[in-house]
Amino acid sequence: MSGSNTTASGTRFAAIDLSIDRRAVLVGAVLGILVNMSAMIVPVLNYVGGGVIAGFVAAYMVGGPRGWLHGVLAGAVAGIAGGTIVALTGGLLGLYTEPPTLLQELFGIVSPIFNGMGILAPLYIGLGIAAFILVDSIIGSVAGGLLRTLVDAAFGR
Amino acid sequence: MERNVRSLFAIETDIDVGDVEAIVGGSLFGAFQANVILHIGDLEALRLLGATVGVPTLVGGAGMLFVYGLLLAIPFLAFVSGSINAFVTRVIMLSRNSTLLQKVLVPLLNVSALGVTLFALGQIYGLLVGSVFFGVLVQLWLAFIGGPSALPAFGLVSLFAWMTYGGMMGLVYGIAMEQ
Repeated sequence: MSGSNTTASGTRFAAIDLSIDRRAVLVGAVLGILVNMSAMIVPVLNYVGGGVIAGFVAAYMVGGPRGWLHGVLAGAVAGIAGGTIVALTGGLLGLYTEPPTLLQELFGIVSPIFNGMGILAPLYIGLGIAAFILVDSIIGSVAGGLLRTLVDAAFGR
Repeated sequence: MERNVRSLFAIETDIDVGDVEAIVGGSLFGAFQANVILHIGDLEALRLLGATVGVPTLVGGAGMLFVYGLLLAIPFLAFVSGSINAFVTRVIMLSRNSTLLQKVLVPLLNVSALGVTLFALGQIYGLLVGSVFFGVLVQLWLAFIGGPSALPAFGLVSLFAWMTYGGMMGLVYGIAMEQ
């Protein structure tokens, strides 16, 4: 996808590289889910959050603005997976509180609201969880991409 | 400045920035898994790790496990960076000499020779860390600062957690180096 193009006025510019490194997205998303699901057992992980980890790792592996894209993608994948888990377990148990859904403190404050949503509650709760993780991943991906850029500049890589 | 920074990692030693990134990632992943094991099986060990800095709580202990995990990765990296080729060669030779080992090791070595070798080496390192660092140094430090004794928490679960830390650190580092 990368390369140089020419406009009508003859100005040459480099096209933005938007190719996707699937490995980075996968590693980030898996780590994000692992951290989210372990946060109930290991409370210290709640200070960081799975979305931040997913975004940070994927963005750092790729680096720069393209890394930010990867971080958000990893967050989206982690969010969809996390949301699906919560929707399934919550739907099966009829409860959307943290212990059964394994995602502690991720949405604790708003969970009672979802409990009264009726038949569409699993869908709303799944989308809500995905949105929370996605927002977290944006913070992580900015930090990860920036750190990688700084490291690359410092070590001339 | 760039040359100075590079000289710290690339010229004076065999270690470059990629090695440091891989070992940081590996040690944090290993400490994460050790944290899960200790939270399930040995909460006292976590409180004692926290007590080394005056915070004898689960959160303090879990945080210190990540910090100690990072610090203890430095000697592992220093040791491995100079001797890994010899170890990989030794493991490959071992697999040639024994039919049983050949059946077990060859498929694993084909997937990731460095990963498998460093996973095994990391587990030995983890056992060493669990015995010497947690069993002796933490105990001595707690006695020095007047904290609780670490010996009651020195058991199979904490040793298993440290071995998992070492093994996972080696595995991640090895796989990252092969990429």
